[in-house]
Amino acid sequence: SGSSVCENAVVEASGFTTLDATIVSKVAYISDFTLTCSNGAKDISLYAETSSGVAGVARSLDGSRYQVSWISDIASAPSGVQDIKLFDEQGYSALKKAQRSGESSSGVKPLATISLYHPGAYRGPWVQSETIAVICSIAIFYYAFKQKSIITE
Amino acid sequence: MLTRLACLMMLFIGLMAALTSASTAEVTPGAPDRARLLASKIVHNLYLVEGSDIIVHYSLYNIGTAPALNVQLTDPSFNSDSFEIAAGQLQVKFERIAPSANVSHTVVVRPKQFGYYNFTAAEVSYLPSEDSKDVQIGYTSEPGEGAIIPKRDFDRKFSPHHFDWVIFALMLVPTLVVPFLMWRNISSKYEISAKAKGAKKY
Repeated sequence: SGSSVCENAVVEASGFTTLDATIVSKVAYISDFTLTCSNGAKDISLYAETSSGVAGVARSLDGSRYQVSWISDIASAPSGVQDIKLFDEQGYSALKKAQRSGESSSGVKPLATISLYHPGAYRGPWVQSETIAVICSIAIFYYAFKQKSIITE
Repeated sequence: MLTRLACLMMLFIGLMAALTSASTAEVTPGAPDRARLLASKIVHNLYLVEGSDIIVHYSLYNIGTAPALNVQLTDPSFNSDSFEIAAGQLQVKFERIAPSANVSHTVVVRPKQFGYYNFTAAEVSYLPSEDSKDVQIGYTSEPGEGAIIPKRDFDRKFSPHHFDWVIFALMLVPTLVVPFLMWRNISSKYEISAKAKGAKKY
C-alpha cells in the first residue's frame, strides 16, 4: 500500500440498467465495482469515460466500492454492451490533454474497462390488444354480413 | 405528469435558492477562492409504482472558484422498511470536483408499499478549499411528494390485458362458433345438392 499507481487492475463489477420504459422516463446505467491491484495499491481516485462523457467516479465512504452511473433519454439510449473506461489521475490528465489538443482519446490506455450490457428498454406493446380485438370483430362482422347477403340475394 | 412537474418546480426553486446564496456571498471583494456546489435530486419517472424502479438522479455542480474536496453525498430518505435498493449506493463520496465541473450519481430504488411518499433532500458535505477546516454542509433540491400507486392499479390501467382478451374470446366461442358451424353444415349440404342438381340439368 501507499502506492498511488494501480498495477494489473482487476475489476469485479455488477451492472444494472432500467428496462421498463413505460414506468421510468430515462434509462439509468449503473455499474458497481471493486478494484484490486496486484501491488496492493489502495485509495485510488478513478475517472470514468462513458457514452455520457468523462466524470469522477463515486465511491462508498469506506472506499471499498466504486460506482459509475449515468442516465440517458429513452429515445436515444444506446443498447447492447456499453464500455466504461476507467482511468487513474495520470490517465485522466493524459485524456484531458488529448481532448484539449483535439486528438482522439483512444490513444490513452485505460486502467481497466467494464462492459455493461443493456438489452434495451421495453416501451410498450407494438400493437394495443384493443386494436387487435377491433380488427378481429370487424373481420368477423364483414364475413358474416357477406354470407348473409349471398343467401338473401 | 403532475409529479414530474412538481419535480421540475422543486429543482428550479432549489437551484434559485442555492444560486442566490452563492451570489450574495461572492460579492465580498478579495474573498479567497472557494468551492460552491449546486446540488439537485431529481426523480426520472413517468409513474411511481409499488415494486418497480424509481430512478433517483443526483447532480453536483461546482460554481465556485476552487475545487470542492472530499464531497460526500448522503441520502437518508430511503429507509429499508419502505424501499429496496435495486442498484446504486445511497452514501458516496467524490474525492474532488473541479471548478465548473459536474458529477452525477444515480440510484434505483423500488418502493415496497404504495401511498404518498415525500421525497426529501439529500445531504451534501464538502471542504470548500484546500486549506479549509470547516466542512460545508448543503442540501440537494427536494423532488417533493409523489403518489406511489399499487402495482395492481398500474397493471389494470396499462398492461396489455392479453389474458383478459383471451378469456373474452373464449366466452364468445359458444355464441359465434356454434351457429357458424350449424350454418356451415347446412349450407354445405345445400351447395352440394345445388351442384348435383346443376349437373343433372345440363
